[in-house]
Amino acid sequence: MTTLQLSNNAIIDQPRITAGKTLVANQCNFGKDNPEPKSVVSLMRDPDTIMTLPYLGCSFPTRLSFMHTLLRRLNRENWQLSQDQWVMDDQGYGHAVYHVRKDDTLLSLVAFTQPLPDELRSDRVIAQAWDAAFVLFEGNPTTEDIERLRHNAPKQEAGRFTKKELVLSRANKSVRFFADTVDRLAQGLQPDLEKVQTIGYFMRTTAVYGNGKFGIADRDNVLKIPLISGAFAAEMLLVYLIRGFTHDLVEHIAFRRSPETAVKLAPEIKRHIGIGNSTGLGMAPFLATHPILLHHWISARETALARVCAIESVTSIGWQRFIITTKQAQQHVNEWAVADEIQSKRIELLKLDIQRLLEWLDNTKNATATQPWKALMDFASNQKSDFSIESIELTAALLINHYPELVDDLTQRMQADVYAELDPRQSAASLAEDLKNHYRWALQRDYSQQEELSQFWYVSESKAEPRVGNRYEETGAELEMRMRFGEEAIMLNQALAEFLAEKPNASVGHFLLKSPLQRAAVLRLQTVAQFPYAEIRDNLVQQSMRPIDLLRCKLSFFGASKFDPKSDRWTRITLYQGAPLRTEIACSETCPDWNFPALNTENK
Amino acid sequence: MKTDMNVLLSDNELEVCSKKAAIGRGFDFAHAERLGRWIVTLVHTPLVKGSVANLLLATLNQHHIQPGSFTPALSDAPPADGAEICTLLCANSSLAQYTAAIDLLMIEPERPVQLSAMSYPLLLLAEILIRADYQGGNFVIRIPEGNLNLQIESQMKSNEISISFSLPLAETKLVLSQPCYSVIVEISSLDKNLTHQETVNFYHATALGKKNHIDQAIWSRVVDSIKLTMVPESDESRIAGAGAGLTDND
Repeated sequence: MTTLQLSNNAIIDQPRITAGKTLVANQCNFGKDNPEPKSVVSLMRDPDTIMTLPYLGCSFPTRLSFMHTLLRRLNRENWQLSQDQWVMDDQGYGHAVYHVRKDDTLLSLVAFTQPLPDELRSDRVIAQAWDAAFVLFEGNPTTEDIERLRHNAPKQEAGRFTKKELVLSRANKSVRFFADTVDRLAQGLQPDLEKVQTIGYFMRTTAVYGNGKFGIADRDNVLKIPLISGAFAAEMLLVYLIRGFTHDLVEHIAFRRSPETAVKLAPEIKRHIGIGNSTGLGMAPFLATHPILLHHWISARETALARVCAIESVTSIGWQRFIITTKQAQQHVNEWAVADEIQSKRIELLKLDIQRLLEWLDNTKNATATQPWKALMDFASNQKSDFSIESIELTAALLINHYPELVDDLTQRMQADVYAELDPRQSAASLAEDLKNHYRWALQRDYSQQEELSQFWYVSESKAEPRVGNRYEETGAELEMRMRFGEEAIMLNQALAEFLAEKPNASVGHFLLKSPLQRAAVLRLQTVAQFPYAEIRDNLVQQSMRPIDLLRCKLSFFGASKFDPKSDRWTRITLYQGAPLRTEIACSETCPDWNFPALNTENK
Repeated sequence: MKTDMNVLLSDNELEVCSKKAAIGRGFDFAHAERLGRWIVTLVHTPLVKGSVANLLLATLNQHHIQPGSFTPALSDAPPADGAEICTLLCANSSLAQYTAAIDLLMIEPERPVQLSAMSYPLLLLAEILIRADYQGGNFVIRIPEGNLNLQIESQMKSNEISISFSLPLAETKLVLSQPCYSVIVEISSLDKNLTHQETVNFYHATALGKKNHIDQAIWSRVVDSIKLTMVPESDESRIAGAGAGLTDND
């Protein structure tokens, strides 16, 4: 286990929200084309609150998350998942091919494994070798394809690929759990349940590359395959197939070691073994650099929550079912153990708050109130309740998950394959007004204070990956990435004020003729005015900024759970824990809900 | 970063690398991002044959960034009621100013806009193409009061339009015109940084018909430009910057 020292800066208190601030900002434009009724739109939460780093950093997965959406689709459309090739030696080194097939569409996972000395096993992007490498391939790979990939996939960034390859990934073993489980299976024993609970995966991916990286298919090519046309669906499919591959690999080695005594993983335990992932700073700026996509993700989630909160009444059965779901989440949280000091404190607060949540749900008066779910969110968000943000967001996730029929269609709104285009016709005065409405958070800050600018984001030369540095102690700040959006807004505000003093009726087009270098800031502002959840309404270079908050937000939309921060800059997570197995996808009538998986519950 | 010869890039690589290289060369963010889109747009338009990318990547020169002397000065005065509409003249300007001038096509369609003396008109053409639909041999730009058709005067063959370049590039002139409006784009001079050899490579790639095919000389320039955006790391920053250890054998 990597040990890390937490800086004092990383230890922050859980901010408490101001009463009455969480629900709704009527002044926000949630889009001219928003098809939701006003009764729903009026319940959407205020971006000034939920688009802050503390809130984003407490995000939970929901049934809208991409993994859940993908598995429901695989099940609904009756896709067939099967192992096609398995060419492995006794130690589990070789290659395998899996198929995902329906009608004329065929996708393949091509997996390679190799021996890896311990000293080379690193989850960091600077690594140059891994235990396993994977490719999601369009069609059925020929022998030539497999040989080509055998020479390129293990090299990852140093390899070269074609548009037949849709996604590229690699993974390292969770060494002790992998070896221990092989030993036990070979002896006819099931895995150590404590390890299943605390680790929960045999391998963890350390990078998943899509969208044209290293020559693989551009997203436009992926969009032509409906199954994986959703946001990150191709990547999530690859990871799901890898999870099944790791199950097969462990069973294979155990069987080869002791064919007479070896047993397979029990399905209920196997189901609880997901696939791990280590994620660091490389992913962090994504949310800031893809504002429209971020809006669509958050907007879908917030619309789902608002739809649920708008429900006028709930049946007794529905209420009891929610209590059961909450208790399931409670068990999940009880099994969520991490070494990180901050996250441990958060989990402890969460446990206390869930108990209070259950007490509130036990009150029959609450069950019969008008708009009971809105009342629940009000209770969780109310300052008097003193819920942590983690608890507020868990409550929101539970409510969203409780109404599949009400929210599942929103997954179709979570893509954004469009570019923002500047509108030069807008009046400059209107633009200035938008700025004051959507960048209040920035205009209130004093950027002359040292702590407001004490960090900077840069791209490292060695691996071309984003990093964070201390502006006052490290070199390179002159090459920082564009992440100071609050400051940009202040400068734009000033330029607009000067321009409008001379030309109060002029357009944005004329403003840009005068100040052409403000184009990027103007475009971002126009985007945020149209998509209010597009901007992270916080200072991304302030001293207290924790990159891990950005990571958790993004990973929650993937469907990740059991966040296990290793510092304020990288985290381990578990994917697909509790999810149906490959062999169960097409067999089940409906895809079971696997949110907040808990081992103890599954074994009952 | 890949530096092998004759790399066949994905669109995404082309776009992202162009953007990063442009930032490295000092472009403002909006135009660096635009440059990436321009290049991919040009690669996919039937207007241009051959490896546009090679030509455009070779144009990553800082003279796009700083405005030249205006002849005459760029005028942005909106037409007064009843007054004759003045032409917006934009010459020897920076890319940012050219783009801002094109914006006026969208908000003041009655005003003629003349842009000239741009070092690489294909960049401007891409800006037009991004805003346009390709319909039956014409590029149609949607503007509030109707459509503006830009017809290429040079060569047009049914649905396929091509621009032929001849050496030296300085002799090439591209004119986009419409009865009431004109957008004049001229290649004012051969890019002094585009060597004869690189020009030949461009034609070679054209002959291969691989639009995303980048030859080593130009790709190396792109890589060098991207490196200008990166911060060299020390051993300490490699650890602190990512916040993790170097082995993970747990």
